[in-house]
Amino acid sequence: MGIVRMENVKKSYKIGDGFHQVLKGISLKIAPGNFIGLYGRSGCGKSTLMQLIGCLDEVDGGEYYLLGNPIHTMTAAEKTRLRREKIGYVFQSFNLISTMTVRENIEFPLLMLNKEDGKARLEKVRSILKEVELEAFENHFPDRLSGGQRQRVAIARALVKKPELIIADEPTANLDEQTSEIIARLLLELQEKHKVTVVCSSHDPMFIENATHKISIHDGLLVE
Amino acid sequence: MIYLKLALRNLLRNKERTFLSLLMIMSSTVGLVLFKAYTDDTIVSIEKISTEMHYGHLQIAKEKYWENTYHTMAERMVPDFIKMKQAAGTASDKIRVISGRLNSFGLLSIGAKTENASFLGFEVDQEAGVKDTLEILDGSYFDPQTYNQEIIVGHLLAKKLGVKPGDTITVVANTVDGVINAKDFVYKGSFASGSEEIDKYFAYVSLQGLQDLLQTPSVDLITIRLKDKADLQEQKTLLQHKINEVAPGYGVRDWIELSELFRKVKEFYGMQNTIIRLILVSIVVLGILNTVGMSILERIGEIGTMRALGAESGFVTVLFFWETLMLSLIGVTLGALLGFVVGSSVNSAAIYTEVPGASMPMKVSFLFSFEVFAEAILIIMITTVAVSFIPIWRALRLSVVDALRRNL
Repeated sequence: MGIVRMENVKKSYKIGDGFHQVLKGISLKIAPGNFIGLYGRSGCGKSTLMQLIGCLDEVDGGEYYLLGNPIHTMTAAEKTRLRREKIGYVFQSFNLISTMTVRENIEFPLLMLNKEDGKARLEKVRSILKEVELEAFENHFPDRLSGGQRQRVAIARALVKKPELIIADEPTANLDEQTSEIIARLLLELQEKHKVTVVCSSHDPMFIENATHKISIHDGLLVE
Repeated sequence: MIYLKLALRNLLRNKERTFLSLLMIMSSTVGLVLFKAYTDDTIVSIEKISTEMHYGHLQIAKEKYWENTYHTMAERMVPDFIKMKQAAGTASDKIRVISGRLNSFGLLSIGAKTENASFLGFEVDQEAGVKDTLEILDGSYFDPQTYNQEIIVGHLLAKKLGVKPGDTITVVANTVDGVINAKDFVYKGSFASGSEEIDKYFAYVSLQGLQDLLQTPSVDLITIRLKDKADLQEQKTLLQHKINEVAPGYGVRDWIELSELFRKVKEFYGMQNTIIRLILVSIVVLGILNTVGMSILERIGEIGTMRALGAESGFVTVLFFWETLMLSLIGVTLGALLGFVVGSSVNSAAIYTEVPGASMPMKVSFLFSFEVFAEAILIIMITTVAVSFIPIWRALRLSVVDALRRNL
């Protein structure tokens, strides 16, 4: 069974009095444990597709199944629960909560899951902090970290709850070349180690070259 | 715990805005505290003067006494005064004082000067509260040994007469039987009641002194003071029942019915309080909508991130609820303290102000009570927290994707 299955998915946005169709009928299947590289020019619909796969937005037409769940028919509350339990996110702008420390940012998804006590959560946070080599920054606030360190925290936050799927939307776009390479390598290594499915949209050649599957999108349609 | 920690950090994140919000909440709380403390003080003062000096808590008299429709003094007299006093006294253990009174009109004369006046004869030894409510300006209050020969008069009346303590004043009045009689009293001092009308025309003597002048052993009114004013209506009903058994044709009135001034002042201040509350609450509503609205607007991106990570709307709402609650709690606490300090300072400084209808400037005074603080704190806190839900609700209406875009 594929982790992601889309059948003729469409998505439009209202612009002025009319509608602009961004996705014109996407059909795709993603098998578990893969690193999917999604690439295409700006404005081709990459981010929209990432948002739909990540259950952050609603499809206008077609069918979308995530882990067998029919996302296209689910309520907002059901999608919130699914995001909480099954999906991790790495955003282009890191999106760390500025009033939370590194530890609290990483702990946040576990807190939302509300399945473990504080001690168990802290153990998990410290373990993942070690993997991203940020043990020394546990009590730092995000504004004290460099861009690369912030993205490591974001990767740790995405991985800490052991999700089935990680959505990484241009994770190195806001980083310099050297840092981008380090972050890309870290994400690829951790994907391999944790056997988690990652869908990563990027222009970074390192992601494209190392992806197990590549998806190109052009003008709202997938290109073989 | 996470809520409190984040609420505190978010309040400290933009110190200037938090300070402005606190200032607004504080000043509104100060306004509510001081205005209510001031009006409460005025109302309590009027209540004290009304119950201790003018009316007592309850009055017993012939039914038409309060309508002023008796043609002669004899008609309104209470011949069974002692019997009725005993009946009232045995009716309840919630009565503090039962006292007879006698009212009359007459002339006060000293040397070539004569002025008309209204006299009240009361049981000086029983009605100790009168001493506390009268401000003696010249001379002294009744002597406990010789009060039956003494008189005190309103300070404006005393001024017209030009009397000095120790002078002899001749009082001329019609007796109960309609014969003119005169009696000499020693002028003990003048008083200020706060009411220009009373200070111009009233003179107080002992009940025995006035009975001698009017040649009657009776009274025309029985006043009752209760141990606890909360028992007013219960005691009124009980007394009416008891009096009907002993002497039909007599009525019982409570001081609130009799004191039109109290009712009007209370109604006036009640209306003013409502207007002041509305103004201050409006300021808080607009201020909180602005400051909390700005704070939420700045953090829509973070709200989007939290929701993307699986946070329910309820989590975000509670997060902001704690923040506003903490802000308002600090604001009202500081506001209540500041209000108390300002009010207490004014109380100590003895500041006087002119009041229309008053015979002399009245002291500006604040009466602080649990109710004063509780009311102000509750009004401001409930308003602050309730209003903050509006921008939170608006932020949560945005889709997760739209909210996330604010992070860019």
